Amino acid sequence: MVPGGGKKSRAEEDDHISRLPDAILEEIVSLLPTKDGGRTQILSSRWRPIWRAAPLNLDIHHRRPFQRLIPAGEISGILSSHPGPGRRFRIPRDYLEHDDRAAATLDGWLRSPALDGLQELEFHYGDWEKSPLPPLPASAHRFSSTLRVAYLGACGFPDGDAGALHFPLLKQLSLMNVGISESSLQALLGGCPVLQSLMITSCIGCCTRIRIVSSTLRSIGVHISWGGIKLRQLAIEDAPCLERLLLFGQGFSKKLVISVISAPKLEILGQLPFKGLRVEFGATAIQGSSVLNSTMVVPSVKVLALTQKDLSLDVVIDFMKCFPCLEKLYIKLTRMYNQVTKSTP
Amino acid sequence: MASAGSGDEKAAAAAMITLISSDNEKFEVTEATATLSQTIRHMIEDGCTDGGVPLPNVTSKILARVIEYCKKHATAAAGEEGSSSSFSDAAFLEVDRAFLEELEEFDDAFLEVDRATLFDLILAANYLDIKGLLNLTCQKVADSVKGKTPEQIREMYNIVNDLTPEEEAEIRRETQWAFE
Repeated sequence: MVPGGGKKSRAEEDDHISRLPDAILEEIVSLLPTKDGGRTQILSSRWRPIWRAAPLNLDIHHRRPFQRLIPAGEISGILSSHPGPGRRFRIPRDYLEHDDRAAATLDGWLRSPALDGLQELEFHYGDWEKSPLPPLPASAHRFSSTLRVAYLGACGFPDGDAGALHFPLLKQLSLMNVGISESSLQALLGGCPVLQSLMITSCIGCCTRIRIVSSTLRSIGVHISWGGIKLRQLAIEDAPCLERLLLFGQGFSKKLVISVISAPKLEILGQLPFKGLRVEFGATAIQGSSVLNSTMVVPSVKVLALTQKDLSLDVVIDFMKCFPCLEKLYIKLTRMYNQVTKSTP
Repeated sequence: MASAGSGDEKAAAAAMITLISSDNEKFEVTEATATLSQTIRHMIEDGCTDGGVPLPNVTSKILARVIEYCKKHATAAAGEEGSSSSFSDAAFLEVDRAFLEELEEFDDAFLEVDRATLFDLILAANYLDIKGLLNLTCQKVADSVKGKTPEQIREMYNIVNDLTPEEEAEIRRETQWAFE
């Protein structure tokens, strides 16, 4: 490895990134934010072809402190400068929000060969009060056999369409403000045989009831903010691998009931809102953050998060009766800003 | 977390594999630890691990670090494929951060190495096909490059710019959006 004669120390050579094979450099480039990735072409002649050879990472959601905003008008240019395949296409809501032809714009982007074989897709059409909501672009269907992560916002699933969708590799699905009926949602979930996490955010069209029957789901998240909540029941009928049932947001109404019928591995539950929302484990019922009935104990739950106005020992004891194997209890006091108390029984 | 039943765990504990580094040092590890490496997993499946697994591309110094990583992550098998930036995972973590914090702390400390070692770890992770470790180490390099100018990156990683000014201009023209 040491170049002839010269005592260019081995240690110095070890420090050179050029030791890494192209495949690794491609991996590194595809982990970079879009602009940073594109700029690596100018480093040297070895680096020049790497960006094009690496799967495209077009992700506008990069977090601080390296945020480099890319205007929506530049997306087509980026797509046309890369031959594909695509690793990730994520665009924020405001890219389509004010576009009268949002579905057509997105459809055009998704047709690009740069996104062939896409693994992660995230978009939000913006306006979710439109009726009917624009559907999943026809071009998105070409990724159904490669997608691993999908975050679909404000799109509609006309009845009959969802049943035709099959995502054999999809592990994470997030539906935000989508328009979908109960039967279509059932059909959609049925088409995701290896789904591990499901996130449902805000009103789901006309769907009032969600039934979960899945042998692969490990996490379910429900986020409900204030406003038109149509969801009335989330029934976890049979989820042998479910470990986490997570609740976000403040809009949980009294009318929403989560029934956990069979989830023997459920370990993490919360954060239960202060009021509203009923959670049932058989005969055991919890309304908001108080226990109404603890007939059935749930030994699998080890981590629980509650919301309380005041710390009350009685409330804690009630929950300990329901969940006798609790290892961690998080209590968030609602009136005190951001204060979280943690106890380890 | 709850992947292996206690019976499996016992069986795995009994099955030990010997890994042999390029400088002939022997490391005894459990099968559960070793099989984080797809390369070794395939060798075990093919029944060619008797008498130890020679790893001629990995020095004992690096192999010891790799084993340290695998031991930690074999016991915390939760995150498997390590698609670390996935959005819904980030939300899910909110409730029980502590659960993964420890693993993250381990990973951060694990990555406190000089650049030459980091590259050696990448090459070892690639050769042994350990997805999580490859992802972790490549992400470390990617993070160090983020937000830097080409000049800064060249200096940091000893990259000699052998492009002509014309070639540079061509690249800037072709991917103008990257340089604005």
